[in-house]
Amino acid sequence: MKITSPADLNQIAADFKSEISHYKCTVSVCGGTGCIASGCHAVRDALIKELESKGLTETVRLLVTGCHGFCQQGPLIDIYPGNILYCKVKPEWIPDIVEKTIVGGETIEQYMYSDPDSGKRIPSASDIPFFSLQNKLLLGKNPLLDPTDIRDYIASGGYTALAKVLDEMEPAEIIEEVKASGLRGRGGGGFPTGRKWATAAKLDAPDKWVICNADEGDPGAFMDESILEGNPHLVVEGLIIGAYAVGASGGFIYVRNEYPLALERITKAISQAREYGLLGENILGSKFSFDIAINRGGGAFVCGESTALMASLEGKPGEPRAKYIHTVEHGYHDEPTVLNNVESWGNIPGIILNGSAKFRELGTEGSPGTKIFSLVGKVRNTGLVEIPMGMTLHQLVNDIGGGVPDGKKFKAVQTGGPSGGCLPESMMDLPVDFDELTKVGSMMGSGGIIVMDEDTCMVDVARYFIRFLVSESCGKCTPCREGLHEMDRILTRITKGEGEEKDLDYLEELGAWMQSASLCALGTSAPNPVLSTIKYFRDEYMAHIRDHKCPGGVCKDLIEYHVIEDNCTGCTMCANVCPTGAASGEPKQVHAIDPVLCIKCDECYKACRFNAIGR
Amino acid sequence: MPEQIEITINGSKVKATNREPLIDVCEREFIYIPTLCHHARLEPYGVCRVCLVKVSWGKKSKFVTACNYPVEDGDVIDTESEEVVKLRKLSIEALLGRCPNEKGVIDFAEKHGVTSSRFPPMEPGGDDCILCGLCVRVCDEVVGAKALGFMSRGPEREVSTPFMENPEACIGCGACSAVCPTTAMKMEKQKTGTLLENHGDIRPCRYALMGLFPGGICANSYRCHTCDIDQKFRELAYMAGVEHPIFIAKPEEPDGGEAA
Repeated sequence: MKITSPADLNQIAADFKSEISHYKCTVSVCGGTGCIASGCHAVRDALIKELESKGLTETVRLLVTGCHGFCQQGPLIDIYPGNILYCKVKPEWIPDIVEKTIVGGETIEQYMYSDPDSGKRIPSASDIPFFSLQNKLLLGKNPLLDPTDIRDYIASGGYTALAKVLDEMEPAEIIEEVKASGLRGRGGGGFPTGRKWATAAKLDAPDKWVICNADEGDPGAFMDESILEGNPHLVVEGLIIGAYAVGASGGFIYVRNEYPLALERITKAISQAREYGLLGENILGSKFSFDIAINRGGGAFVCGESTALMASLEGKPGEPRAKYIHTVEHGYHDEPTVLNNVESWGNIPGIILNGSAKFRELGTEGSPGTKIFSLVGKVRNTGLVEIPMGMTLHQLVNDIGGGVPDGKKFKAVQTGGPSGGCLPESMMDLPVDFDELTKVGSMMGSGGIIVMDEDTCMVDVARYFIRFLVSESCGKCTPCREGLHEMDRILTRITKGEGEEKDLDYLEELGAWMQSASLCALGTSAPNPVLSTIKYFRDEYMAHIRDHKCPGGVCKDLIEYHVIEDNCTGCTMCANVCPTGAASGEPKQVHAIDPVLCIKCDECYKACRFNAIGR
Repeated sequence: MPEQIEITINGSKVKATNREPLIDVCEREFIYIPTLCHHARLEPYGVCRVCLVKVSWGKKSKFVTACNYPVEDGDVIDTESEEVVKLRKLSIEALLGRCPNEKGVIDFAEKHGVTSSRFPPMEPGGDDCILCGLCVRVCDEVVGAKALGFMSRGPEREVSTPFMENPEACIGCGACSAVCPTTAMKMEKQKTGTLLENHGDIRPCRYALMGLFPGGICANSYRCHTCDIDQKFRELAYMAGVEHPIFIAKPEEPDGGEAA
């Protein structure tokens, strides 16, 4: 049906609510990328089978939703009422869960989350520190929303912000509200969204455009993907409001092709929105017309950069151009264009509905609101977290993330994706917001947080990110193309123990050049991993250069495995796992490693339970 | 009526038109800005980064490329301080490292005080091409043939014809080799055979294809170097002070020619 007035919207919400009112219980299976990888589809199938065989399909609502966030513990299922969370669910558990929890209403202790320190079982998701310390403005609806059904979104209050703006707000008022909220671009730049909109709105042009940047390319980042998969209409609603505010007639969502599920969900969301009259001519019975097209990215990291993205949209090679004239004025086909990323657009409906003052209650003065981070690496609770800005790195990594596992020592945290910086323990009290991170030589980026422990080599980390950037640089400008290649060469030399002390000065010189002289933000931020590791972990570089040692035990050319005789019990574990026979010895006698045969595969180090292998 | 503004270059006040490319202002004021990828008849591209200058507004400052930076009232520009020259020299050093045996690059580097490079060449013996894109752009923007483009990315980027084959679109005009600041772009005589094939029995004169000559059919079997028409256009180009006849045919657009 076509919605022609806000009253229709309420009617759909009421109808849908009564349609699902016969369900006594909701079982929400997390269908996010992390849980798919850990096997949630088998859990879903087992649930369908079990509910059917028990004849419970009329009373139990089974939802496969977007990401719940706690990827480390997946597959996850959430049972409502009660918000009971079962972790690492196996399909074999399903009959038990259906019988005891869904029918019987009791919780099953051994399936619950167990606190790693106390071993205590926690039944409800809201009591687990990982969840209780977050503020899920954007991701909060994910566990209770069917992302494939527009009616579910409408029933949860969706599209009321759109109805509000079309019904009672002038475009200028919307822009004032967004300006007052202080929302800053969540894609990494941190440019005030309201100011961008205001510039576009002022320009007089026959066509204006709004674009949603969903070309999230940072390794390990999946914030935008999870919003598109779990709550696609949120982004669509944000885009329509933005288009109305700036007077745009068309919009694009630029999604990377590597996100097939996000692509499927957003495609469906757009076609449903069209069917319901929320896109197309005379939206909600108003005079405003607008539609959205989807463009799939071809897999180039640089296409997340605004000018490269627009070149790619125009069908040209995805290469950036100088931004002395902003894309807001001359963007897509040289016309005024507002580009924001998924998370920024997702914040818009909330700001309109609850007001900018409410939005400002969270976060800091300069960076209001929440930010979604993908917390990965050597941390207990990997997953997707949404926190108010201004929370410290310490809280993020230790309180929410649960700290470094396996008794290892924390070494560094890398923020901001491949061109972000690595920060040491002494920086852990730093509040996470746009300005603070930039000040210390890192950046917010789109929100990747990689935690590293003592077994990480910082030179190797810098080289890893530089290699990523070498292969993703478009090669258009000299500093980025030649500079990254040269940095890779020098870093490789250092990891082989062939570095010289003057290499560090040379790397810093190259870094300063690339920061000042590169054409686009990829090039100007690319030296960050090198410059920040030299700044905070200079001693590690010196250990490689002067002592020919790798303190992290990672650089193969600089380590030699040996048995620490005092610790060796002669358990034979090392000899058992050694593929070349380099580790050998009689049972209950001290073992030895033959450096000639050793291929440095690290297996003996990992197998030894007595800390008797040194490297 | 274009708005007149005042900017400061190296301490002197200079009049300019609002949003005029900085390099044009500098040229008018006889302020030398070195560049490797800029050509007055082509759209600025801003990739060699050799024309880097510093622009400040009060306490804020930024490095920009003179070839495509649109000046605004009150800009304070520095084209010759130590800081600027150092960055510029590093860009030249990188290109010299890429092409250590290319005469054009060696001469240009030497002129700007760079005689050796710490960057080793990416391939043994070095490259001839500095990826300035002049050939690609002249073929697209002026000739209109679009027979050249870039291939691959990052350090592997190179200029190529479609599918690395003899392009049907090439009219053999030679504008690419004329604008090439190095010796990377060459007209290969043995390949004119392919051009003959591409154009079949009726072979328009390449000057006709460039729009310099009305509809003429080649009567000289594509041997341009022995053709009177060719000689005439080359003389005209020489007298106009441009590298290639194509630039006499397509003079700079008058004001307002730029896309809105």
